[in-house]
Amino acid sequence: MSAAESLVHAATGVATAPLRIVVAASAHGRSAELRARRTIASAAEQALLAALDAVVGRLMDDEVIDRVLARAKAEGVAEHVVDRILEDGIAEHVAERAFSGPELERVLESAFKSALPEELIAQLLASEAVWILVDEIARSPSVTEAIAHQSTGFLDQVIAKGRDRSRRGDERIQRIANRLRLHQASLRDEDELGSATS
Amino acid sequence: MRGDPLAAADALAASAGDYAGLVTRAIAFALDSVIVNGVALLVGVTVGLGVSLLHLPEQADILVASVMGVLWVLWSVAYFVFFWSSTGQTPGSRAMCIRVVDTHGRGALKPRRALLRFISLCLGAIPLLAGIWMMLFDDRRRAFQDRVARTLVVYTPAGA
Repeated sequence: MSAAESLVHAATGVATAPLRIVVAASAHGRSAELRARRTIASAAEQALLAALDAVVGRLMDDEVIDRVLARAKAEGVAEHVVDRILEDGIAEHVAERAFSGPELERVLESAFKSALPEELIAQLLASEAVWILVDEIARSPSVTEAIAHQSTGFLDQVIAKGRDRSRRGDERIQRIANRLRLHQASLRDEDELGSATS
Repeated sequence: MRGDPLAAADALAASAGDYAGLVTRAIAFALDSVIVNGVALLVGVTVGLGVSLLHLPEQADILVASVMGVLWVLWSVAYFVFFWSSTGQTPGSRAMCIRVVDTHGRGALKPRRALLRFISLCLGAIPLLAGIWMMLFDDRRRAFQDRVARTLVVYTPAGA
């Protein structure tokens, strides 16, 4: 490099020094701005969440819930909702979905597999009221009649069938005997007629 | 009666419709025989086992057998006489829905008449059951014992 070129390079560096300072300052200012914005946004978010928590906490207060429910009751909201559910067929749809889907089956299966049925039966058997109920049912006239009817029903059927057949047998034998009687009577008449003519 | 023999026979059968016929009465009697002889058999076996344990002399065995025979006859007579004179229905008759009734009063028999009927039944059965076959040739289906004791055997409604 010649002396003239070095001089020009130095002069250019001196001449653009303020510009470089400005550019550097601008970059620092931009990053500072971004940091400040982030900090402000985070603080605002925190403040908003705190406010929301306060509002929700206030809403979940018993007094507020009681008020809302009292208002809803006074306005007949529950009846209206139930009416809409029934009128629109939502209840049928929900029931149909519950019964046709595999969820209910799974729930029942897991319930039966659990210890719940055994515990339930054990508690029922231990309950005195259940045995009183069973006694009452067993002593009821309709149940005793049904048991008696069940035990005698088959025998009655057999006897009734035998009775019908025996009566048909009576008629058949009687018919045969009557024919025999009439045949003998006709033979006797013919004999008498023959002896009278001879 | 001289026109169509089959129609005449049917008319005769219809006239005898209320009176129990041979088959029904035979089944009822068979059921009663099962009961009477079943009970007698049970008692006889029980007594026989008891006697065999006692090692009685032969004469005593004969005596016990004779007594048991007499008891069997008495039991049979008592069975029929009791039921004929109380309800007119033995258990066999009850099952077959027939009843022995008095010819006139249409009620149950007196014990003497019931006893007479039983004796007549035995006597009528001796000559090849001739006293029983007699009912086939009677308008009211009366057998020998019915004629002697003046009784009828009629059908009754089920459960009556």
